[in-house]
Amino acid sequence: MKPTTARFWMALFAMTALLWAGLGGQALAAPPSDSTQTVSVTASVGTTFTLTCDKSAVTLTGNPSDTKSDTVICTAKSNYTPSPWLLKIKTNQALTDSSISESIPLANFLHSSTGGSGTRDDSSDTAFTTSDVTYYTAHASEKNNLPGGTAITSTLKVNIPNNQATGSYSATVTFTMTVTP
Amino acid sequence: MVSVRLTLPLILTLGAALLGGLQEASAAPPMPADQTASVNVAVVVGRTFALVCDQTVTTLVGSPGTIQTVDVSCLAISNYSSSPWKLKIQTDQALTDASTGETIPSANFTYTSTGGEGVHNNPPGSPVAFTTTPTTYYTAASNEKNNFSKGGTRITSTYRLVIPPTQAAGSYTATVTHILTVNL
Repeated sequence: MKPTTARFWMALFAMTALLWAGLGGQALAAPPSDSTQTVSVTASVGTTFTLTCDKSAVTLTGNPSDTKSDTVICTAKSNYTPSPWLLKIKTNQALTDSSISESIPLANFLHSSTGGSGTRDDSSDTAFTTSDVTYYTAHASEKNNLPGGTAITSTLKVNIPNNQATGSYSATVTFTMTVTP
Repeated sequence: MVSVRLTLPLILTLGAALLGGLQEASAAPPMPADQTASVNVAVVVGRTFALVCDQTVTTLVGSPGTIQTVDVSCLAISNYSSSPWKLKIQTDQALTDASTGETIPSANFTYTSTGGEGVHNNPPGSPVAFTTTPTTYYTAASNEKNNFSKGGTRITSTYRLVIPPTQAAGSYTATVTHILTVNL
């Protein structure tokens, strides 16, 4: 073999060796393993928790010994599922006419409610109090009641005493939606 | 060594972020704040303010020189508690016989009143002559301002006529008006 030929074969061998090493010594030996990449996806769904009543004012007109009532429909919407929501109710005071310092006793100012599929505490006439009292506890199926919500109809009633002085008596009834018992 | 110093903090940071993200994703949503809705309730209690007397016509029959009396009972019902009500009384004229033009002097036609828990200006024994302008004869007690539950307050007025000895025969008339008011 001529020296020139020998150098040629040596060079060819060296290049092949380098190419083999450059491919990692395996590319040509087996199929490539899977390559994976994970993407963490978080969907954050906001909390809907609203209470809307169809009236903000109610006027009951009557004479002594009369019973007068009106209804207020409050719609509770929630998608908070860890615990059921509750509806509470209270009045800030007895019905009072401050101009004559007269009031209608709390025992004569009543509420009751209907609607929903949860538990009701005022299915019959219940006297108002000045502290929050639960009158409705949502059913498990109502914890997430979107999109329509749950409508609860409250009847506000007053039994006007037979000796009630004429006047305009007022109070503010507050409905509260909460998950706090 | 250079590459280790550069990547270790990066790995720690990424790890912490991933851990935090996993924890956040698995935690319960925050408890919603209470929601409230208010309804202003007004109760308008109607007014009862009425006076009803048991007679609308009365006749005193007598001879000259005699005294004739008649009781007229009036029921006052009120639930107006801002101020006490009063009863006033007046006559439209002296007792007059229009056919003859004769009259009985006003001083001879008097009244007193009883009943209730308030103040009588002319209790029995203190008769006063009728006048042609309204005159208060009874002021309700404080607990009578709203007397609805008690069925009202009944006040009896006694009309007293002293027929003068010289009075001409005739039919003498006048109209007595009782007024329930809260005005002075």
